Parts: sequence; C-alpha cells; structure tokens
Amino acid sequence: MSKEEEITRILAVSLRQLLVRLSPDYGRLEEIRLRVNGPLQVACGAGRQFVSDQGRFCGREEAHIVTPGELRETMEYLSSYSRYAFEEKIRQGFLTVQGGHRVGLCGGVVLDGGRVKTISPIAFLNIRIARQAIGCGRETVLRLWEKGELLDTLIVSPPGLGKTTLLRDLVRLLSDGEGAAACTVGVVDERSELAACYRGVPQNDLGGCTDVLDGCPKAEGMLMLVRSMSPQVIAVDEIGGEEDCRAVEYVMNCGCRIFATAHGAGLKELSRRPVFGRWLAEKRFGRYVLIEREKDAVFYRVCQADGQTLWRGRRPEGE
Amino acid sequence: MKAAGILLIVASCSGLGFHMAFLYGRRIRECAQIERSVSGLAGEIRFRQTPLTEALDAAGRKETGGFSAFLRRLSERLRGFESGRFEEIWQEELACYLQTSLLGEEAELLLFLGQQLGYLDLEEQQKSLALFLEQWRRQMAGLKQEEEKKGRLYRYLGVFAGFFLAILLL
Repeated sequence: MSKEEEITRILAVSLRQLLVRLSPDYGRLEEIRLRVNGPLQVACGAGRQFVSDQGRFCGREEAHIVTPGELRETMEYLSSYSRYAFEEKIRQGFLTVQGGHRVGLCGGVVLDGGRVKTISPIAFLNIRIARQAIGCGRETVLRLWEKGELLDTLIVSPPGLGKTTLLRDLVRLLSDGEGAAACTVGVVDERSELAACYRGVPQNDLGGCTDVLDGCPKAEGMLMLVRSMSPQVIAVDEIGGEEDCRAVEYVMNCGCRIFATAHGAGLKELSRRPVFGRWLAEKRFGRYVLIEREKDAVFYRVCQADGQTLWRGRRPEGE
Repeated sequence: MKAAGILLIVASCSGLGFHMAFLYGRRIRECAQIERSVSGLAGEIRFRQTPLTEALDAAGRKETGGFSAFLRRLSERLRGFESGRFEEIWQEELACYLQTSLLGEEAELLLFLGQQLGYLDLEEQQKSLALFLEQWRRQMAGLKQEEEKKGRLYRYLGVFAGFFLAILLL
C-alpha cells in the first residue's frame, strides 16, 4: 500500500477528496491537523498551511472548516470501527495506524480517581506522517564497538533532533548485522514510537532479529525481555524516571548491552541530573552519542565513557 | 367426489392455519439466533476487546442462518476499508438481510444497534449492547406469548374455516 493510500484511507470521505485535489508531495508531508469547527491544516515542507474547500492551499479565511461529522467519521476509520479496542492508546493520547503514522488525540478528558480514564469527545486530531531515516546511523554504529565488544550506548539530545530516529536505525543495523555481527535485539516501545506497531506488527524496519514489546512500561518491559527473550541488546527510548534507571542498571548487570536515549543538551547538562551524573562518574555507558544542531545541519558526536570525542560527523539524509 | 372435495378444502385451510403458526415459530427461532449472535459479539468485545471486523466475523461463524451471513458480509465490507460510516454500511446490509427475514418490528431494534456500534468506548459499548440484549429479550418474551395465543388461534381458525367453507359449499 502506498503512503498516499495509507493516509487518505483514514480520513473522512469529504476530507479525502480535498487531499486528492490538493495532491501534496507525500514524501514531504509532515502532518494533517483536524479540529472540530476549525480550519483544515496541512504541514508539507513549507510550514503549516490551510486547505480550502476546493482543495488548494489558502488563507485562514477560505479554509475548509472541519465538521463534527467529519471528525467522527475519521475516528471510525482510525480505530477500524472499534474505538473500544484502542482504549489504552486513547488514554495515552495517541493511536498508531497502518504505516506507522501516529495520530495525536485531544478533547474532553474524563478522569477516574484523578487519573485520565479516556478522552471523550475527541475534538482535535493531529495525523503525524511517519518517516524513517534508514541508514542515518551507519557511520555511528561502527564507533560503538571496542575490541569486538559492543558497548552500552546513550543517545543524548534536546527534543526534536532525532534521538528516536537514530536509535531506530541503530537497532536495525545491529539486528541486521550491517557493518558488524548481527545481534538479537529486544525493544521496549512504551509509546509505540520506535517500532510503530499496528496490531502488534512493527510498521518500521527494526531489522530481522528484533523482538518488540509494544506499549509496555519501560522498566517492566526491560526485565520481561531479559527473562523471556534473552536479548544481546535492549533498546529503550527516553529513560529518565528512577524506575527506568534501576531497570537499566539491572540490564547492564545481566550481561545485556543497553541502547537508550535521554533528553539533554550535552554531557555537562546531563551530569547535573542525579542518576545520569553518577553513571557518568562511574563510566557506566561505554559510548555517548550527542546530537547537535549547527546552523541548518545536524551532527552526531560519538564520545567515550570519559566524555572524550571519538568521532563527529554530519547526519546523513537517510535512504 | 363430494367427500373428496370437502376433505381437500378442510385439509388446505388447516394447512394454511398450521403454516401461519409455523411462521411464528420460525420468527422466534430467528430472534433466538440473533440473540445468541449478539451475545457472542458482546462477549468478544467485553473479554477480548476484539476489533469489530474480527468480532463480527467470529460471531457470524458461531451460528448459521441469515443473520450470521449478514454479520460475515458486514465484516468483509469493513475489512475492505470501504468508504462510509459504520452506521451506513450496517443499514445497507441490514436492508438486504431483511428481504429474506421474517422479522417484524424487531428490525427497528437492529437498526438502532447499528447506530451504537463502532465509535463508543469500551464501557459505553458494553452498556449499549447490554441494553440492546435486554430490549431484544423483552421483545422475544412478548413474541413467545403472542405465539402461544396466535399459534393456537391460527391452527383452530384454519381447521374451523375449512369446515365452515365445506358446509357453506354443501
């Protein structure tokens, strides 16, 4: 199924027709935003733009206004006519659809005992188009080995620079054995961002030797993987909580290699955070990959356990 | 010759009466089948949270008859990601099913069920199915009472009408 089909089939018929008339460049399409009684918005390379009733980019005034019926119809398609089957995902505020595209949900939050029970009615949708950067970690992965041993690796960057994208590609490269020996990789994908599973099947390429625990809390998932799947490498996105850190230490002590990501502008900033500071001092991670923006370009910096730069290179575009 | 004619009239009128009573029974059996299918569907949703396409197919395969075929057809159309809201697809398929069904006013309840499936959360979905089943069972209880009364009435009416016609023609 083409990307165009994957995206149009989840939209209400009337919106589908507008998108067909608009015929955007699906390779550059980033997101489609629907708001009840609000204008239809599409982000496609040149920022967010409104779409008119004639299916053309236009100003705010002429924009097509999304009706409650269109949003409900879209929700029916998104949930394969089974909203009840996606309760947990809706509670978390997103759905993953075929092709790995993620749909953010907003609306009225229903609380139960102070915790979010569900979102109802859903009045705002943000369809984020999945884009993999296959091959972006090819140069990096070669630097994560030392004397034939793969090292524990932490990817660090501020939000929005592509930590998850790099981790995903590293998992694929390790799993497929590109540039080194193939490893069995276990992925704990709490927010379905790495594998983007649809009905349990990964929509993103994570390599041939990867097992995925989808929607599972990170700490619990890491322990489950160690006990049940005997992975050589465990990959997990955005660690930070105390429980996560305890699980990471457990995994390291079990002889598994850990590949993780964390928010941070650099190692100095990271060292100010309690657990990460200790890890840095104890040289727990053999490698740190820092993602840095310089003007319009993004660079990967691979550092050793002591913080010394081993290699720095511009991020490849990906295939 | 005359006796044979009288016998034929009585037999055909009685047959008609018995046939009418039989149709009532079939309608009740069809309703019972629908109840079992919808209970199955409710179970799939409640205990396994199976997506509707699969739940409809599973419920349709557990039973035989027109309604099961309707559920399987519906599942096939939904799997095809055909354009249209669930309610519309349900209505179209229901109209096809009702052409060969014996259902009367119960069809209204089925139409209402179609409006309640697919877009509700788990709790609401379970409640709406429970409500449907409750209303359906009430309808069936009424039908059974009616069948007891009317079934007997149709049978007697058929036999007596046969005799009456025979006497009239003598």
